[in-house]
Amino acid sequence: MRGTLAHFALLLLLGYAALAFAAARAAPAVVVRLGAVVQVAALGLASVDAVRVLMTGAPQRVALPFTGPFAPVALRLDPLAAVFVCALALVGLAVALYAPAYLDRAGHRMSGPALQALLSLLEASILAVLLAEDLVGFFVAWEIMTGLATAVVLADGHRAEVKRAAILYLVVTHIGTFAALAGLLLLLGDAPSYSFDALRAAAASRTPLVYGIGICLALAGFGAKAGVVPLHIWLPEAHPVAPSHVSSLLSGVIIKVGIYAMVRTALDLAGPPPAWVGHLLLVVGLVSALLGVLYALAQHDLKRLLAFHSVENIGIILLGVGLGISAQHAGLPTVAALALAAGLFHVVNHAVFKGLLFLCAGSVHLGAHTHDLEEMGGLLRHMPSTGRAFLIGALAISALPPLNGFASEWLVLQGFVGATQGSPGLLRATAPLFAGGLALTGALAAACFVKAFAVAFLALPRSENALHAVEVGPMQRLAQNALALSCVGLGLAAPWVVPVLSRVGASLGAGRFTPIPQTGVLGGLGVGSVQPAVLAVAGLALGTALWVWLGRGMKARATGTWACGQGSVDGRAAYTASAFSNPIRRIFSNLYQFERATVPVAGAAPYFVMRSKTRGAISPLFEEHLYQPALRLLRWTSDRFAPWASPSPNRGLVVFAVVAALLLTWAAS
Amino acid sequence: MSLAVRLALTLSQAALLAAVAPLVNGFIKVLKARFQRRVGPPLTQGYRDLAKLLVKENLHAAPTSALFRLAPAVSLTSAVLASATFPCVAFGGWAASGDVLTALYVLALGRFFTALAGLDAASAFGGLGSSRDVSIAALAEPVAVVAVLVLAAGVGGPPDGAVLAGVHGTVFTSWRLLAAIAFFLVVLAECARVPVDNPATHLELTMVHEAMLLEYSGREFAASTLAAQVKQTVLLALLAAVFLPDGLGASGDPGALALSAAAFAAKLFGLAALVAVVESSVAKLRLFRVPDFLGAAAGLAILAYVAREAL
Repeated sequence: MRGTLAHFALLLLLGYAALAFAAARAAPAVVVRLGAVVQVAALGLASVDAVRVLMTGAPQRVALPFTGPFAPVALRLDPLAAVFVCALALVGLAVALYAPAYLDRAGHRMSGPALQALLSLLEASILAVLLAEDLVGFFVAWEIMTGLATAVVLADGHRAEVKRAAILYLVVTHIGTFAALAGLLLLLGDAPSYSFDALRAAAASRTPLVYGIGICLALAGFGAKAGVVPLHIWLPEAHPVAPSHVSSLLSGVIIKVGIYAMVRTALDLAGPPPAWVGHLLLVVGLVSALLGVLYALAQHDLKRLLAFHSVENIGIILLGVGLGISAQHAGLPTVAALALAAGLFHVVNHAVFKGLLFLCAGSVHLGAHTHDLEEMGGLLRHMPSTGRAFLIGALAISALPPLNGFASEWLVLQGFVGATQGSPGLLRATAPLFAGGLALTGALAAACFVKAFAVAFLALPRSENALHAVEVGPMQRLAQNALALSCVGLGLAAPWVVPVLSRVGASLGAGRFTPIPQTGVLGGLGVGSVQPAVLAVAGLALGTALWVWLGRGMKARATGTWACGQGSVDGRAAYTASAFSNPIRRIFSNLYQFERATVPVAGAAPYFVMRSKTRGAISPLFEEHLYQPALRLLRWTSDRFAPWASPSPNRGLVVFAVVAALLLTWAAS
Repeated sequence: MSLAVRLALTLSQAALLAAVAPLVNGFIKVLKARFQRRVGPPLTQGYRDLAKLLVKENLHAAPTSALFRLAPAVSLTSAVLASATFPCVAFGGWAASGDVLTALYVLALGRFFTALAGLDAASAFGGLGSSRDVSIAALAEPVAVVAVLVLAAGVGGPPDGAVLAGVHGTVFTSWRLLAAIAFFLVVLAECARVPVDNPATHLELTMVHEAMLLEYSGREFAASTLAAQVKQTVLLALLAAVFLPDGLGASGDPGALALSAAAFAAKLFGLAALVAVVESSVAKLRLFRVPDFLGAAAGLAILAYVAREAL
C-alpha cells in the first residue's frame, strides 16, 4: 500500500492527540507548542496533496489495510474535496500559529493541551469526512466531527450559556444528521453496498418522487450543519462562546463541511440535479444571505456579529451553487461553470476572511477584555497590527475590490446578469431579483463592517479596558497577517484560481460542467470581465501619490473635535454600534420586531427621573414562529403517547412486538 | 487600435472627467441660482474653492487615527479609477479593466473609507452622517445593479463597453428609458442630492454627506470634496454613455470621435441641468421616506426588465 500525504496528515494529527493526552500533565507548555508544529506539518502535507489534485484533476485513493464494519475503508481525495482541504489548510495553519500564545493568556477552563489535542482530532475528523468514500465512513467521521466540535465549544462548559449553546448545537445538528441519513438511504434503496459508487448507480434509477424526498431531506439535513436559514439558530449561539481560535475553525471550515456534503450530494452522488434543485438552493441562499446580514447588523457583540455573517456567506455560496445548476438547465453552460466556480471560490474566501476576523476578535478580547462593541473604541491606537488586519478582513467580507470577497461575490453577480440570456423560464424571470438581493446583501455587509471596525477601532475608548488595551504577541500578529495577506493574494490571483476551480464542476458525476479556459481576466466569456491586479496597481499608485501629496510640505495642526462650542468631546459623544445601525433597523422594522423598554432608575425623587435605562432587543422570529410551535406539536404528540409508555414492562414489550411485526411484514412485502 | 492608443484614451478620459467635475458641479449651482432668481457664483467657483483649500493647512482632531488621513486619498482614487472602467466616447478599444458593475464596486470602496473617516473624530455629527450614508447606499446599490442588469439583458452582452456596441444603432426602447430613469434616481441618492440629501444645507443635523466631512479641512478637505464631485460626474457620465448612448460615433476615426465627444458633453450637461431642475422643484424627503423613493426606483428597474422581456 502506498500512502498519500493527506493520509500521513491524518496519522500525524491522531498520533499527536494520543501523545498530548498522555503527556499533558508532564509538560503542558511543550505539548501545546508541539501541537502547533504538528498541525502546521499535517495541514501543510494535506494542502500539497490538495493542490496537486486540483491542478491535475486526477483523484488520489488509498485503501486502508483493514476492513470496516460494512466495507473496506478507503480514503479518496478528489477535486471537490481538495477545495475544502485547501480551506481547512489555510485557516488551520493560521490557527496553529495563533493558538499557543492565545491559550497561554485566554484563561479557558479547559487546559491548553486538551484543547490542542481536541483541535487536532477535530481537524483529523474534518479530513476524514472530506476523504470518506462510502456512507458508513462518511457518517462515522461526520458524527465524530460533531462530537469533537461540541467538546471544544464546551471549553468553558461551566457557564450556563455555553452549555445551552452546546446542547442546541447537538440537537439541531443531530436532527439534521438524521434527516440526511434518511435521505441518503432513501436514495440508496436496496443497493448492494454503502459505497458512494453504489449510491451514484442507485440514485440514477430512483423515481422523481423518491429522488425529490431524498434530496430534500439530505439538503435540509446537511444545511442544518452549514447554518442555512431557518436551521441557523444554533450558529450565533455556539460559535461566539467557543475559544476564538476554535471559532475561526468552526465558522471558517466546519460549516463549509455542511456545504461540502450538500454539493457532494446534489451534484455528484444523487446524479444530475433537475432545475428545481437549483431554484431551491437559490431561494434558500438568498434568504440566508439577506437575513444573515440583517441580523448581523443588529448585533453589538463582535463574535455574534461575525457568526451571523457566516449565515450570510453560506447564503452567497449557495447562490453560486444554485445558479450553477439552474443556469445549466437554462442552456448557459459557461454561466453555470462560472457560477459554480464562484461559489466554490467563496468557500475558500470566506474561510480565509472569517478565520481572520475571528482571530482578530480573539485578540481584541485578549487586549481589551470584552466582546461588546459598545465597550471598545479607539483600539487602533493600542492595537495597530490587529486593527490593520481586521480592516483588511472587513474590506474582504464587504466585497470591496481588489480583495478576495470581491472576486467571488462579483462573479456570482455577473452570473445573474448572464442568466438573463438563458432560455425563458424561472431563472431568467427572477434573475434581477436575485441580482438585486445579492447587491443589497453586499451593501448591508459593508454597512455592518463600517460599524464593526469604526466602533471598535476608531474614535475614543468607551471603557477603562479599551483605554488600556494592549497589542497581542508576535506569533498572533503573524497568524493574522498571514490570513490578511491571503485575502489580498486570493483577490489578485482570482483570474487564475477560478478556471482551476471550474475543473471541480467538470470532475463531478458525468462531467456536466464545462471547465473554463484560462483567459487572464476574471469573468469574460460572455459576462463582464475585470482584472483585479490592474485595478490594484493603478489604485495603489494613484492612492499613494495622493496620500503623500496631501500631507506634504505642511504640518497638520492638531485640534479638538467640533462640539458646537461646548469644549471637547469624550467617548460618549461618538456613535455607538446600536445608534449606527438604527436607520437600517427602522427601515427593516417589520423583520426585527424591535422591542424597547425604558425604565427609570429609582432615585431619591420618584417624579423627577435623573437616570433611566433603555433596553432593546429584536424578537427571535424563527424561535417564536417556527421552533416553539414545532416543539409544542412534539410535546402534544408525546403526551398522546404517554399512556403507552407506562412503566409496566409487559405492555412495553407488547407494543415493541407489534411494531417489530409490522415492520418485518413491511420489509418482507 | 494599439494598446498604447487605448491606454492613452483611457487615461485621458479619467483625467478629463476628473478635471470637469468641479465645472459640472458649478453648472448645477448656477442653474439652481437662476431658478431662485439669483445671479449665482461664476462657473469656475469650484476650481477657486479647491485652489483656496489647497493652500490651507490640514487640521486633525485629537481622536482621529491614521485612517482619517488615508480616507481622502482612497475616496478620490476610487472615484478616478471608477471613471476609467467604462468608455464614454469610443468603444471597441478599451484598455481599462472592468465594466459598469466594477465601477459601482470601486465607488463603494471610496464610500467605505469616507464613512469610516466620518466616525473617526468621535463626533456625533460624523457618526450621524456615516450611519445615514451607508443606510441610503444599501438601498441604492441594488437598484443600480438591477438597472445595469436590464441594460445588459437588452443587448445580450456583458455590462461594459460591449453594451455600448450593442445598444448603438438600436432604436430607443421603453425599457432603456425606464432603466435610465431608475438609475437617475439612484444618482440623486448616491450624490447626496435633493430629495435625499441637501448639498446646500448648513445645519449639521440635516446633513448626510457633508456631515461625514465636517472634521476635514485644507488639502484633505479639497480631496474629499473633489472626490464627491468626481463621483457625481462619473455616475452622470455612466448614465449618459451607457444608458443613453445615442449620438455615439460607430468608428474610431477622428471626425466620428469628435462628434461623439460633443454628443457626450451635451448629454452630460443636459443631465446636470436635470439634476438642477429636480433640486429646484422638489422638497427634501424625511430620512425615513427615502426607502419609499428608492423603492419606487427599484420598481421602475424591475418594470424595465419586464418591459424588456415582453417586447
